[in-house]
Formats: sequence, structure tokens, C-alpha cells
Amino acid sequence: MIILLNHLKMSRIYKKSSLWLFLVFMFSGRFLMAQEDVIYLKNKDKKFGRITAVSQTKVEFQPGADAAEEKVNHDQIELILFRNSSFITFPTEYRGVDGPVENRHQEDWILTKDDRIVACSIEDGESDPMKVFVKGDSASKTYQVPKGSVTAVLFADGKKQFLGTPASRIAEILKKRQFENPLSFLTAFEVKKESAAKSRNGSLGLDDASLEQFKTKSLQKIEELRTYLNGIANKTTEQAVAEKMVRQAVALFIHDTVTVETTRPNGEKKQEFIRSYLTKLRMLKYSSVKIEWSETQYISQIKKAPDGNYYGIVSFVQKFTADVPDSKKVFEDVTRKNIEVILRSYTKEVDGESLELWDVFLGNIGISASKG
Amino acid sequence: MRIRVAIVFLICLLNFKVRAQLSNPKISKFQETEFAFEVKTIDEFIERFNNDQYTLIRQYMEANFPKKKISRLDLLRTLFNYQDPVWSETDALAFSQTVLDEKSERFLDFYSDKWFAEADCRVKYKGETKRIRITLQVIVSDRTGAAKWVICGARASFLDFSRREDPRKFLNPISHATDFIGLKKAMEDKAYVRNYLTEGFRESHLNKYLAAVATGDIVFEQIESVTYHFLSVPDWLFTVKEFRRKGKNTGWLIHSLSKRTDSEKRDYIQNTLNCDF
Repeated sequence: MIILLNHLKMSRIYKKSSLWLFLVFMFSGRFLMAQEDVIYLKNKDKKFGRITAVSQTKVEFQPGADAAEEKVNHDQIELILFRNSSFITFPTEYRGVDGPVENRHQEDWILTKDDRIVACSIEDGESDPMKVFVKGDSASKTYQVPKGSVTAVLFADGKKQFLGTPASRIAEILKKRQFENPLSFLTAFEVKKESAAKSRNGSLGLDDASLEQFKTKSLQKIEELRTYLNGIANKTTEQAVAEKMVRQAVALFIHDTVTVETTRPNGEKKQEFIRSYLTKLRMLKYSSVKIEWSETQYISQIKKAPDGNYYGIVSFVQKFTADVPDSKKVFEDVTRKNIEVILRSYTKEVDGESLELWDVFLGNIGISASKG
Repeated sequence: MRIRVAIVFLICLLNFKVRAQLSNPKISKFQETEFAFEVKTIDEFIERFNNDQYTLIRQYMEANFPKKKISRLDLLRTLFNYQDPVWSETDALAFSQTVLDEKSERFLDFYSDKWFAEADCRVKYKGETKRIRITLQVIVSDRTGAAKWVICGARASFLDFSRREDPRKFLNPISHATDFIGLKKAMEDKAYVRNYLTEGFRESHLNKYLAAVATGDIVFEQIESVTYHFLSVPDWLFTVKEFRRKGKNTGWLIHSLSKRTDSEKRDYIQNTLNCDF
């Protein structure tokens, strides 16, 4: 709750500063705190500072900016955790100041009660239970792990929570370096959301692999459309080739009566059927045209409709650049496009067997106002 | 007229640049970043509100700032409009506490019947340009799980019955004896039609709108804007609008936020959203 209050108090300050600063701070916030290397000694003591050298027998470190360097013998040390999430256990052959690169971890590590390591992402390590998720988990599940059910947590940003576990045991787990499948460990802590949306998404009748395929195929179709648009608009494309491209582009859509929204310079919106839109694109009086789409594209979750098809939205930025004939000027327009994508399933008879297949088609194209 | 021509010319001019200035027709990194931050659809709004792990902004931050941790509160805060907001910081704080309550976190459900879209539409009514607000909601088939948007209400001032009243105008209590002979006169007295209705009469603009569409009196032209109304978070009501501008605080954002009891919400559905149920 304190964090919540702090965040909201901070928002009053952010509003007065620029939006960029607001966003940068918002996403960095408390993670900007400086970290120190920590030396855990066998006598349960801890030394904080910056490691300045690791020799064959000693570790040298500087406890503070103005403090004199100190040295500790290897045989006195249980474990060193570096500020960058790397670590060394003893005995060690390592000679350096930043810890072995292979020991750095980009993900947070949960050390389990049975001495294994679970690599995952912890959203809020200060709360108990911790909110945890697994990167690349296509099911996007969230887990709540009580701190009482783990041995320790080592965060990717160098922070650590031993939860009362002695450093010697942490060192043993790190020495063994046995990783556990995150999903098999976390299953017991899965959060069952009340939200019906979650359960409904799971009951779409499509498995995760099919959903991924749908997304990939949607983006492929969108890219095909971009290629055709450039070809159709380009004056160097032969008329016969351009006409073929119009037919091929229309075939990407679920039917030829889908509409494309355009805006006039006065902001007035206009809707046209796809074939008419493509034909007019060919007739634009520019000497050359270039249509570029952003690499970053948003694709929504899909939703089942009464016609049995599934509908989603792909969103991206379009930059339209055209040379004006007999002039040194170019026309430039940046807009956000939203294109409906439709997954349509169909049955095909192959060798007497009915196969359920599906394909992706494009639907109506909406437009956001020009971004100048 | 000259001023109008000048404005049109200026708009065109703004879109043209000298070729020498255009070095790269590609989307700039800056534009890509703004796009990632923009809440592009109401679907993305719901994803961020629900803290979905695969939402684009999270993927973008993980790819570009892998060590930054993004909490649900961070995502929630990206959903507010900070430019001339119609919400108070006190309310935003209390609302966030309700949503993030560890004992009972709140999520938005696309398939819920407690949120509505309100489309502000331009129509031609008997040849004249008019505005009508059409309310829509998502309904889901229990059998197939299929969903669709349906129209559940409409509101247009030009469809209002006259509200004029005159205590001298009514169907007298013995009208039945003459087989309501006065009814013809009453129906010709259009300006005072209210006098002949029950006090609790609630007119349906949706019915009138559909009837006018059927007769060709109304021709739909285009949608000017859309506002979403969310009533599913207990004790709260908020509206979401699209803010089209440059920067990172753009797209579909919380426009207004207010406390509402259940009965106030019922009243809102009936009298503000004009839903016919």
C-alpha cells in the first residue's frame, strides 16, 4: 500500500514535468537504486562494497567511495553476490571484478525448498505472495508464490532475498545449479482469475499453437498486402502486372465488399470497397509512391463470432510518401491503421477423410487521424 | 470564402515537404515508440487494465529495457488521460486501490454486460444533418460462446416528443362513451401529445430511429466518435475515449471517473445510455 501511495503521490509531480520524463520514471522508479557487491563470510558476517580484485587467495574490495580497500581470504568466504546478478562460490578460479558472465541471469531466480532453481519473472518481489509469471508462456498465466514456500529469491537486477536462509545453503544451491522447469514448479501457485474473459479465451476451441499460427499468418497476410499496395501504386509497374496485383490483393480479403476507411485533408472520413480503393491507388497522380509500415505491430486476442469465424485486429503505423510530379515536393502522411483479421475454418475431404482446416483473411480497414 | 480557401491551402501545405528534407521514407524509431505506448484499441485497453503479460507495451519494454519491471499499477497509470483530465487524483487513488485490492483484484471482461459503447453518429434527417448517439453492447451466446455487438439504445434530441403540456387538453373521463371520439383531435394536436400519455411514459428513441430508417427519413452518414462506458468495477463508473495527438499519453484513455452506487448505475444505463431494457 505504501508503494501504491508513493506512486500516486509521484504522479502529481510527473504531471508537471514532461510526458517523456513521466514515462521514463514510471517504468524505472524504484529500480534505479544503486547496488553493491556483497561478500558473505563463513562467520555469518557480510561485507558490502565494490570488488576490486579476486586473486588466487584473496578478494579485495572497497567498502565505500572514501574508504580504504580491504582484503578477505578465500577460505573465509562462503559466497559473493555481485550487483549485476552474477555470483561466485568457493573455491573459485575466477579472476575479475564483475563476476563470471555465465553466472549472470536475465531472469529472476527462485531457489526452491528442494535446492533447485526456477527461472521466472517476479513482478513484485516486495509483496508476499510474490506475483510471478514465466516469459514466453503462451498461456500467459500468473502465479502467486508465498515466500514461505521458497528458500530464497535472487533477482535479475542484483537484489536478493534470503528469507532467513543461511548463505552457506544458498552457495550450495548455486554450486549445484540444478534448474527446474518453471511451469512444473509454479502450477501449484496458479492464480484462478474470476474474470470470465480468461476462461472464455481458453474455450475458443483453438490450442495455443494454433493461436500462434493465427498471429503469424495474420502478419504474413498484412505484409503481402503492403507489397501489393506498393506494387499497385508504383508507376513503373506495368499495367497488366498492376491489375494482377489488384486481383491478388483482393483475394487476401474475406470478400470484395470489405471497406477501407480513408480521410480527406479536411478530416472527412470516406469508406470505399477494397477493389475500388486499390484501383484508385493505381490512378494517384504521383510520380512515385512508397508505403511503409511499422515493424512494431499490435495484434489483439481473437473473438468468436456467430458466423463461426474468429475475429481479431492488427494495428500498425503507416507512412505514405509520394513524389509530386514536376515539383520538388513530396506528400507525406503518417496514420495508424487497424485491419480486421478473420480466421475462417473449413472442412476438406482428403482420401475420404474430413479434415478441419483454417485460413486467415483480411477484413475492414479503419484509420486513425493523420499523425502529421 | 477566401479564408476557407486559405485554410484548405494551409492544410495541404502542411502535408507537403520539400523533397530534399525527406531523407528516409521509413517509420522512425520515435514513431515506433509512440506507437508502442499508444493504447490502440479498446482491446489493448482491457489487456493493460487486466495486466495481461503479452500486451504490446510489456513486450516492447521487455525487448528494449529488459531489466525494468512493470507492475499492474504502472500499466493502470498508462490508461489515464493526463491532458485536461476529467478525474481527480483522489478518485484515481481510491479507484486504483479498488482495482488492485489483493484480496479481490478487479478485472475487465470483454464479454461482460456491464460495459457499453456509445457511438456519436452523423445522420441526414429529412435532408438535414443531425447527430444521434447509438449505444451498443456485447452479447454472448451461452451455447456457442460466439459474441457480437448489438444496438441497445439511441438518443437524439430531434426525436424528442414535444414536452409542452396544457392542463386543458386531455381525453375526458367519459370519452369511452363516445368510442373515444376525441382521439382523432388529440392525435392532430402534435404539440401537446404529452397531455394524452401516462406520466411515467418513457419514449424509445431507438424505436423511433429504426422506424425513421425504415421509411428513409433518416440516412446514416458516419460515426464521429466513440465513447466506452465501464460500469463493472464496484462503486465506480469510468468512460474511455480516444485521444488522438502526438506523444505517449495517447489512444484510448480514461476520460472521466466517478463514484456510483448500483442504483445510480441502473439510472445511468436507462437515462444516460438510453438502453431499452
